[in-house]
Amino acid sequence: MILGLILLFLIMIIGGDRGVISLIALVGNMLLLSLAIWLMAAGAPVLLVTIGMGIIISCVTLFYQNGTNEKTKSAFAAVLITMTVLFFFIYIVVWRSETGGLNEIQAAEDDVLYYNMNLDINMRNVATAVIILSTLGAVLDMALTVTTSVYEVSIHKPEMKLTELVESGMRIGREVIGTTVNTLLFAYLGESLLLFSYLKMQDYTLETLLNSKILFQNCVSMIFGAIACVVVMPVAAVLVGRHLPGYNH
Amino acid sequence: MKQIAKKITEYVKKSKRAKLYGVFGLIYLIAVIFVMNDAWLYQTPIAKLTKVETSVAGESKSTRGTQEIKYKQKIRGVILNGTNKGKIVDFSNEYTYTGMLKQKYHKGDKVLLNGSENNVGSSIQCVKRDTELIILLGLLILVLMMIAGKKGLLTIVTVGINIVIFTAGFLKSGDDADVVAICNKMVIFFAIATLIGLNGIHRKTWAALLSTICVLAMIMGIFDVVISHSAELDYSTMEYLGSIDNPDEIFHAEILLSGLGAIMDVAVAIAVALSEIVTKRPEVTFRELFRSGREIGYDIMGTMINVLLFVFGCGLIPMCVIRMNNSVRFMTIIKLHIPCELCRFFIESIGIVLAIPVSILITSVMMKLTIRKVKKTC
Repeated sequence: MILGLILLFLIMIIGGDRGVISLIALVGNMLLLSLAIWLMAAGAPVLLVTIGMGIIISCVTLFYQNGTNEKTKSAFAAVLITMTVLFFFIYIVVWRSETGGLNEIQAAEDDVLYYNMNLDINMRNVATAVIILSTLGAVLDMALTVTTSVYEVSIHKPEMKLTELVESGMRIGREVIGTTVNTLLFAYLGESLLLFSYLKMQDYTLETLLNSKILFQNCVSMIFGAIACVVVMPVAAVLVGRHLPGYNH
Repeated sequence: MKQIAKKITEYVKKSKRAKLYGVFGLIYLIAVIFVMNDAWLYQTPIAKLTKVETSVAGESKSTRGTQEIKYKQKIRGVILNGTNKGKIVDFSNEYTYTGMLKQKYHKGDKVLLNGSENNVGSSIQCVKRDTELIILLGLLILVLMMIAGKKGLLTIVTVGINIVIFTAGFLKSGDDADVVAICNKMVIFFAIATLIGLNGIHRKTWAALLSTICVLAMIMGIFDVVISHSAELDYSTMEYLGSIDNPDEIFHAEILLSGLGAIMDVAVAIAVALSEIVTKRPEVTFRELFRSGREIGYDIMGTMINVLLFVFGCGLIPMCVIRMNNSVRFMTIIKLHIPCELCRFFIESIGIVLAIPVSILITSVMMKLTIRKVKKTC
């Protein structure tokens, strides 16, 4: 809890006014995430909650934190399009591989034995929700980076054509994508470090490990996050190019 | 003539690219088909399900008082490998609508059985998921290369190197080795590999590297001070704990690793931007550099913390849903079940915020010093 306070102070000192705004957005997102968990636990249709919360979270992050303008509007549209396409894809993958529910290690934990597992909530949908929501942060970041830079370029060089604009947006996106993918990789690696050391102690053969639910659950979120970040780049670049004044053909 | 030549070279360039994509697409396809039919590589018996009959087997009360439907499946499959190849086996399977511990099987699924090479076994161990894994991995690589081009390739290479480092460090850490020491070394290797891989060998790379390591040292210091002055963190609530006997060391390692990516991201962004400014306007003062660095920092800070928030928060959803349906209150979960995860998230966010001033300072000092040197030699 002390760490939370330190964080609070640091953001205020270093970030100033805009730090406070991003802090409020952050707390808002935390509350929304909690609300989503609460709704799911209360038996609301999981996929609907996911979609609704996804949209609200995107709105808060983009419009509150960065203001309502052409940049954020096209970033929002790009995220919406990308996530809608990926939604079906993610659902199919989760359905095919049946990765919902607890994985092998979680299921073997002591306290799970005491819980009643008949929740009347489809865990396959929960798994889909987990993947979608966890990629959302990175995708929003990426879309906003691309739209902002395209916008800046179009202001400085108004004579540029649409294709050139899109190309410049893509170039900036390419610069960022490497570190973004690595950020995701390390975030998931760190999260599953304990899991790996556990696996080492248990005698898992390579065969069972490759096909296990644990590995799949951990990898899928990371891979989909990266795919979503890459795909959102061109979508955002094209959308912001079309939205900008003077390019409405 | 010139125009025609230009057009031809352009076309060749384009078709070369198209060919390259074609080759990669083909490799991808072959890999997928290979993994779909790799049952002969397995020691464990694998069966393909040819017939699945699902019927409702009854209802029971769920935790919220609604009806939970139970299903029963009669499954018939053909063994695909080993000495029993071609043999037909029958199983039965039960699962509930929730599908928490047991799952539904579909017709056409390939499954691993719990037997050995000669013995088929009595039930299904798990679904064969390697095909999906390869499909997704290949798709990611393909998309990265198509959209991000050379940078995408570099990204794949750095991710590959990082995974190799991780595996190597991991295998090296025996049961009694010092996890934190190994992790420290690993983190430095990770940072070097990623930064050089993505940015090349350049002064801004060193600046970013130096600031990353400084920030990591700082957050670990903060963490240690806070932990020693406050109530002990209860490591027993960590997920996947099992019977590991050094949870605090592993927790240190976790913090180091999961914050690394985000801190590097911030450091690189600031180093690149500031070095742009310095090379364009060598006469820029420290104060101006500081101001523009802060401006960039504001933009990244919020979104980076958001990225971590979603990665961290969403991993908790399934357990929270289970616990809340077993009448554990939300506040109790926060207090008792996830303090470690929460603590890790806070420390990483502190790292991101700290990375801004630290990397501004280090980058501007390094850039300025080198420019002065150049002036002197002139």
